[in-house]
Amino acid sequence: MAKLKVEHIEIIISDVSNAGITFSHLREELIDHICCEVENEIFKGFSFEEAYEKVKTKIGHKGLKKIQENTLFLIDKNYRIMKKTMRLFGVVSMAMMAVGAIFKIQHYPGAGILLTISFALMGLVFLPSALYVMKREITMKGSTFIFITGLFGGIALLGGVLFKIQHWPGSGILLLAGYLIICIALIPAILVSRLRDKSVKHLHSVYILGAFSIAIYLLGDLFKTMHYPGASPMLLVGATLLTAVFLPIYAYKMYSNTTYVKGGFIFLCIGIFFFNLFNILLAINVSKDVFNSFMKPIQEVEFTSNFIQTENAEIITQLSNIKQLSDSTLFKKIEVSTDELNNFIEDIKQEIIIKTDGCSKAEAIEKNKNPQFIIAKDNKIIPTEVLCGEEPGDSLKKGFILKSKINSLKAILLKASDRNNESKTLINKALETANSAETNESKSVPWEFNQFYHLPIIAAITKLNYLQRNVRIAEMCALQNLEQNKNISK
Amino acid sequence: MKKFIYIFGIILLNLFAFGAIFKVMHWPGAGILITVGLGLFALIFLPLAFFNNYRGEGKKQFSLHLSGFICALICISGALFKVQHWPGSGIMLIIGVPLPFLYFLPVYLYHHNKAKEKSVINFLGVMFLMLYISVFSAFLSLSVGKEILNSMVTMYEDFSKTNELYTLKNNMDYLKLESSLPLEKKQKVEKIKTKTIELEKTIESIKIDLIKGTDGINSPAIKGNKIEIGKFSAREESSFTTNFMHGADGASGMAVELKTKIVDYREFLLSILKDNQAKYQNINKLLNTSDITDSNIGEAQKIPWEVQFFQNGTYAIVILTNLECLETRIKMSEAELLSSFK
Repeated sequence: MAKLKVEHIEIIISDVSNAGITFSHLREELIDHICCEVENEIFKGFSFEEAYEKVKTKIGHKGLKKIQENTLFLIDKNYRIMKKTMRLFGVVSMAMMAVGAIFKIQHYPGAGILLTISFALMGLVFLPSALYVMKREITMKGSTFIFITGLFGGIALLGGVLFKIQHWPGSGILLLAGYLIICIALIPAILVSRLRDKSVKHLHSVYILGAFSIAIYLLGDLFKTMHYPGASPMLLVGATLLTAVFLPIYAYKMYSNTTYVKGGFIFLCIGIFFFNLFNILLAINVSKDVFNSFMKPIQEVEFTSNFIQTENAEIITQLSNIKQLSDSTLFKKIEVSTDELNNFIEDIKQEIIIKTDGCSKAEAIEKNKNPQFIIAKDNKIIPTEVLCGEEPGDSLKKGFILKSKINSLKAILLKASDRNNESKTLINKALETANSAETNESKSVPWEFNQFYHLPIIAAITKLNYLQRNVRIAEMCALQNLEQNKNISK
Repeated sequence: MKKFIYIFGIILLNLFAFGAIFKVMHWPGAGILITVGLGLFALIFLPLAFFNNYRGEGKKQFSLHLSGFICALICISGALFKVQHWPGSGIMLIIGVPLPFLYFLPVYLYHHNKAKEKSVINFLGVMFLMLYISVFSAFLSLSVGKEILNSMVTMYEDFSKTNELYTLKNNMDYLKLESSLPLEKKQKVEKIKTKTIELEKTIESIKIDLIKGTDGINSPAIKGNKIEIGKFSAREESSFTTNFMHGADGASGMAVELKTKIVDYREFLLSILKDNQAKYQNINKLLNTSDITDSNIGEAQKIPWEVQFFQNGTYAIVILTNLECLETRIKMSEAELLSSFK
């Protein structure tokens, strides 16, 4: 049998090493095997080059890697378990997370549990196993550092997002840590290890560009989430660099010699699409904290409304002490019908809350007092359904009834101040229920439609509180007028 | 064909990215860029690319390509509907968010398992992309559409109407008092009027400065000295707003300045009302500037007046609305005082 020369064996050894065979026993076995095969071919009369080429075709493209993977899979129980775990938990946790997100958006019960479990599975099971598999498969310089930073950065980020969604304290620190580990440690480390790889030298500038734009993009995300100034410019620069500069250059260098559209390109396009999509949604959406901002105005309207009510009550007591008042029934009538309208509005609020949150009447009364406890604060469908319907002019809805009640109260109040034009102006202004003015762009719509159509429940409650206050103000005008008349008549 | 697909895909993605930038910056044309970019991406680029790839690969992975195409199509059109606020985006979101994980991922894993030549890098790439998508869809469940801020604008408009109502009422009272009061009291009323107008002007200038600072000096929301809140576009600005109200150190912004002025105004009103106990109490209540103990936090924690009205990190439109509320209180105090002269 022909013997191989030392330099031929050297070639084979270096080829096997370059193919990324890390498992040492396998490496020696493979070298031995390839040498035997080549010797066989040489024995048949081929030169070393021809023989080696033949053997290589026999093993196939990426064949060595495949052999390693299969060997590892067969002999390494840990590896086998890890890979299966990763696959199973990857699918389960991601599907759960997506369903949990939908539940959360739709305010279905159980969203919190689904999200918590899925984040825990993803961070504590899927991510470590995926990184373990990756470490066994990919030979990179400084890979240990990359995997450790990847693991910690990933877990911190996942935890931060979960804490933020669940409103648990500490989300800010976790998010900050996660983003910083990824931007400052992980991305530069991957970049450095790529730059050390001399076989892809023509791609080095592209790698630097890509790493830079992704880091800016992620820092923009971080700034946006933490409400630091300067988030928008970073997101814009990141988006432009990634899509308009990195993508074309990378595609040109990677794919200009291919015969058909590579799966990698489609993957890259869809990946960049999602990256841009999430960032634009992050930039144009506002945080749910915005609902807390409604609390102060609601409190204010309530406070001022109660204040006016107390004043009105005082005037009423004063008036009722004067026996010889000519129109003694009038102020009683004012008091009764104002209270009636007030209670009617109160009932509407409770009805909306009961229907939106599906709670009992007692709970609805409590939530009416403290609107921050309403669960689906941005529900627009139920208030619209109760108050005005999807089409303008529905006379069966509560908004229409409210309008007619306001109008009848207005008539009573105007009658009470028939000698005072100033008072009349004020009452008319406070209890305005005219249809919206017709403009070039839109037709005139009924008052109730204009007021309540697609108003989120939290704003609808504020609006109804505001109407209650206006009713009180109108009552005040009428009562003050009566009081004045009394003074004059005295 | 292949070259065309590559270039076409890159151009469409750029259209989308620039549309997104235009949208964030409130520049015109964002809608068209996003619609054209995403529409053509989903309806032309994706079928061409997947088909070309399917033919080129020469492997029997039809179901894999189909699942990838369907999921990408639904996700992208769902995103388009959502960003453009078209009807039906809700249902598309419900289908589109879980679909990649319940349909594409299992099909992909099945094919990956069966494949003879496995590429672990591709596999991990797909897994990590999926991870990114799922985490961010969960993250986005936290935020709500900007239209919620539009209802803040409605609130602002409503409160302005109340303030106009009170202005009208108080002006009528001034007219009446001027004709009926003795000279010495008339001067007092005059003084109340000047003081109130002064305070209102301070609030008005804070509002205008805030709008100019967030929306630009030439903001369309400011016509002369009047505010047209419907045209205010930087509604969700928060960093300039917080800095403007509270200063860099949290105690040097407009909020503290305003508080001093309100305290001054209150003391002035109270000095007039020394003899009228009931009205004295009322003014004290309306223009209360003391810290408030918040029972919701649990531990008795004092929240300063200026933080109650102008929370840190909140949006510009919220501050404007709360300033409007404050103005109502001032007008009501003014009305209280005027009624004491009757």
